[in-house]
Amino acid sequence: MGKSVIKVENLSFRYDQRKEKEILSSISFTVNEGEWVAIVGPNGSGKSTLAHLLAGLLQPESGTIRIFGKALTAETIWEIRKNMGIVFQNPDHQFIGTTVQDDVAFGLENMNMSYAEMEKRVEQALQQVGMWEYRHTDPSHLSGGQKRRVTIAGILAINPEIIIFDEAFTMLDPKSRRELFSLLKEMQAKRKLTMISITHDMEEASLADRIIVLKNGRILNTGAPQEVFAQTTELAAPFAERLRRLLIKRGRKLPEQYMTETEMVEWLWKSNLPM
Amino acid sequence: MAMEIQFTNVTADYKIGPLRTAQVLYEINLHIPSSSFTAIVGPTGAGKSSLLKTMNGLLLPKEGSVQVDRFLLDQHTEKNVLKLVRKKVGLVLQFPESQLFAETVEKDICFGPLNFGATPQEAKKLAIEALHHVGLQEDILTKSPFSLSGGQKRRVAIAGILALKPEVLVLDEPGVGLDPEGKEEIFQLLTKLNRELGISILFVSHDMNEVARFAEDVIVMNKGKVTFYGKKRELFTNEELLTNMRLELPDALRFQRQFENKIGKKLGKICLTEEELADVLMEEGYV
Repeated sequence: MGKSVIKVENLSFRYDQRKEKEILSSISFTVNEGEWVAIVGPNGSGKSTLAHLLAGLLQPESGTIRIFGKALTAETIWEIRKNMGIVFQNPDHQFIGTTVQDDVAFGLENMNMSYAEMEKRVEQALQQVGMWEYRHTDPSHLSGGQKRRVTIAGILAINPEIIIFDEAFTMLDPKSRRELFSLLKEMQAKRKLTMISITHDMEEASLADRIIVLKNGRILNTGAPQEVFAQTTELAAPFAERLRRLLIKRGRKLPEQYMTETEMVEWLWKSNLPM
Repeated sequence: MAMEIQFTNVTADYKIGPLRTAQVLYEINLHIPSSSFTAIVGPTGAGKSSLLKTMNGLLLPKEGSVQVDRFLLDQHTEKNVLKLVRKKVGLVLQFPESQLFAETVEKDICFGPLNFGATPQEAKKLAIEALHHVGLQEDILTKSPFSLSGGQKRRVAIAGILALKPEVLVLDEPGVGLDPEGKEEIFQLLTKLNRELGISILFVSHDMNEVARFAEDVIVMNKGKVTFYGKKRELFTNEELLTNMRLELPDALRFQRQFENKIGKKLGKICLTEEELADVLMEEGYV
């Protein structure tokens, strides 16, 4: 296991100090270098608040967030941000440039990069997300899914060590979503990219190395996807798991543990082979 | 409620300053009957959102026309007609909650009716009625929209459109960004509006599970054209079209195909939900 790059300790948060209800209650977890962690949970579980805290947009009420060993504070945030990209849900709020390539270059310009290097990175990032042919287009003329890809290109170009995705893929059609997931998987392996995705999408969560389930501001469960899906029945599980639960409910005998889709097809096939 | 929408040779693009974009809609011919429940699907950039906009006059055809009830939408349509059409055809954009603006839910929902000439009393009555339709209680009226959860905000935004008593509701990805429970609530709400009030629903979606569960008809768009318009089961039976249009399969059908490939035999029925698949697997003795 790699070294820990994000360490959250006893993190608590309330929006309104006059009220008792904590949005997050004493949350602790670590994320290791090169790990992909999905944070899931229903609306109101505190997921988005956690994303905003990790991004430094909110200040913890108590507890700490350490990134690369450094406590995240108003003073350290800009230093830390150089190595941490954040992609939010609504891409319209993140556009600055008048063309797609300007927009992707914007983050690089702020880093005092040479023009040649900038050009190279912009092209590479736009190629990676399949938006190179739209480089001269005004971002506001793009469709929702295309905008999303451009935002991700902007982050990839910066070459961060950590990327946080806050419901970042919800706008994409499933095919583009899968393409981006496999791209991210590849980058994760190649460059030890650490990723946190905050998501409702169980397909996205099932690709992560580890899932953290939040409920009412607390960590309900954490573990590898197959463990979490089998143990946490209140989670909207992936299809094969829902089918497994449904068939068991209808009195059929099926294996006790979580199965991926391929495993379940395999099991059904085998149990139907002539003896 | 008789409220049909007829597209006749509709071609459209966006004019931006002196420039025009490439065409976003090409020669669209469609007849959408009253009280229908239709999903609009297709790859990003296919013209799905533009199709929605032409239905309430936010985008006017460059050529051809859209007939909404007795109103004709084309380049020559006058402003007062557009206003009437926009009242009849409610448009719910992506993330409609981002357009909530007033300090209370009541003011937000009443804005539309007041704008269309309702008295404050009438507007409030319409607001309460609309809130009930979206499954929210009256006590929410005095709250700030910003204090609500994501799912509630979206329902308030939809209530703001419903307060205008539209006969058609067109929605751009109504479930996007909500958790599975919030999504379910929105679609149950749309189903209820369709069945009980006879409101036609047209929604853009990328999620074939939503389409398989809730829609009756499907419009498939690609590169600004309509490539399929028919019953959903007809679409999901047409393997060639699904492949050509690079459409995802609903979870149940994807699972079914994998299983069929494995056993080298077809199941007796196209399954669109896990319930259907469980039924067929049990009936045919596979489990």
